[in-house]
Amino acid sequence: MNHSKIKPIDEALKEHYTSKSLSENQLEQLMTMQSESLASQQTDAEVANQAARVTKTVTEAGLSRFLPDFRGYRYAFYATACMLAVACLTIAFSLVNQPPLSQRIMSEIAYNHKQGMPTEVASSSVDDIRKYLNKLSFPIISPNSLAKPNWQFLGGRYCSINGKLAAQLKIKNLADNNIYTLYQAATEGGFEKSGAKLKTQMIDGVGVSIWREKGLLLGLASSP
Amino acid sequence: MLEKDQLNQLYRFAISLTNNDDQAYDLLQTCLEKYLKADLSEIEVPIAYLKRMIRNEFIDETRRRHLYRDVDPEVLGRISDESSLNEVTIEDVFVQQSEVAALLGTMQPEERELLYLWAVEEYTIDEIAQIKQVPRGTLLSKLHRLKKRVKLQQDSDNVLNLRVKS
Repeated sequence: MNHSKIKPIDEALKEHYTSKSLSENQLEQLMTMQSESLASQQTDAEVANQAARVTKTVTEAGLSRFLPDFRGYRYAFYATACMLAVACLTIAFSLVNQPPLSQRIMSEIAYNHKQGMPTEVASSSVDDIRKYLNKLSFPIISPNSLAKPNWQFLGGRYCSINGKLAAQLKIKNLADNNIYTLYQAATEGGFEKSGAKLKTQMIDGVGVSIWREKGLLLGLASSP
Repeated sequence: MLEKDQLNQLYRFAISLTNNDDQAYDLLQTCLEKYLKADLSEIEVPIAYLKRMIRNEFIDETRRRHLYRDVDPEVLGRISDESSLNEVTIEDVFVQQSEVAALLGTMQPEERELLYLWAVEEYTIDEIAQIKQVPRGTLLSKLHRLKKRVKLQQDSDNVLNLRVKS
C-alpha cells in the first residue's frame, strides 16, 4: 500500500527534481574540467600575446635595419621635402619657359662675337684653318651663301656653341671691308631642331644670322 | 566558470530530457566540454546558452539512436481537444510523490522538459515559449494533452487498484 502524500503536480515535480543532484565525484570532475580549460585558455592567450609582441619587435627591428629613424628629425625631414619640392617646381618652370634652341644659339653667337677673342690660326686658306682646327668633329666648309670673290677668310679658333666644340672664323667682306665672325658647329646635339631656314636677329647690338648648310649649323655675326 | 549550484541546475534540466541520471550526466559533460571550447566572451547568459546546447545535443543523440519520436498517435487519438486552450491549467492535477518518477517515465522528453521548466524553474508558459522558440499555442496544446493523459493514467490505475482490492 502506498502511503505517499498526494500533492499538486508542480510541488511533486519540484521535490522530485530537487532530490536529483550531481555526486561529489561528478561535481569535482566538472569543476576540474572547467579549471583546466580556463588555465589552458589563459596560457594560449599569453602565448598569443607573447608571439604578437615578438612579431612586432622583430618587424620593427627588421625595418629599422633598413630605414633610418626619422622620428627625431621629423620637422627637418618635412623642411627638406618642401625645399626639394620647390626646387623641382622651379626647374620644371624654367624648362618650360626657357627660350627655344635657335634663340639660345643666336645669343651665344652674339656673346662670343662681342668677346672679340683673337684667332689661333691666321690664314686666308680654308684648308689651312681646317688642318689646324683638327679636333672638330666636322670639316670646316666654305659656305655657298658667302660668295668667294666677296669674302676672305682671315683665321680661326675653337669656340663653344651650346656646350659643343665649334669653329669661330674671322672673315672679311671685301665689298664693305667689314669684319664678320662665322661660326660652324655640328648639328648633332639638338642643333637639327633649330631649323633650316635663315634666321636673322639683332641681339645686344650684334646682328646675328643662323642657317643650316651641308649638315652644319652656320652663324654669322657682325657689329654695325 | 560555472558554480556547483548552476551545474546541478543544468543536470536536473538534462534529467528532465533523458529521464535517466547517467545519461543526463553524460549529456551535461559533453555539452560543458563544447561550451568551454567556444568563445565565451560572446555568450551573454551561460546557463541559457548551455540549456540550448543540452536540448540540441539530446535531440541529435536521440535521433542518432532513433529513439526520438513525437507523442504516440494512438494516445493522441484518445485525447480530445474540446476544451479551450486558453483555460489550460495544470495546477489542479494532484499526484502522489512516489508516482512522479513512474509518471515522468511515461512522458516524452519534450513533455518532461515543459513540466520541468514550468514546475521547477517556475517559468510561465509565455516565457517557456520564448525560451524554446515555439508558439505559445503549441505549448498550451501539449500541456492540455499531458493533463488529459495524466488523468487518464490515474483513472486506469484507480480501476486497477479497485480490481485488485475486490
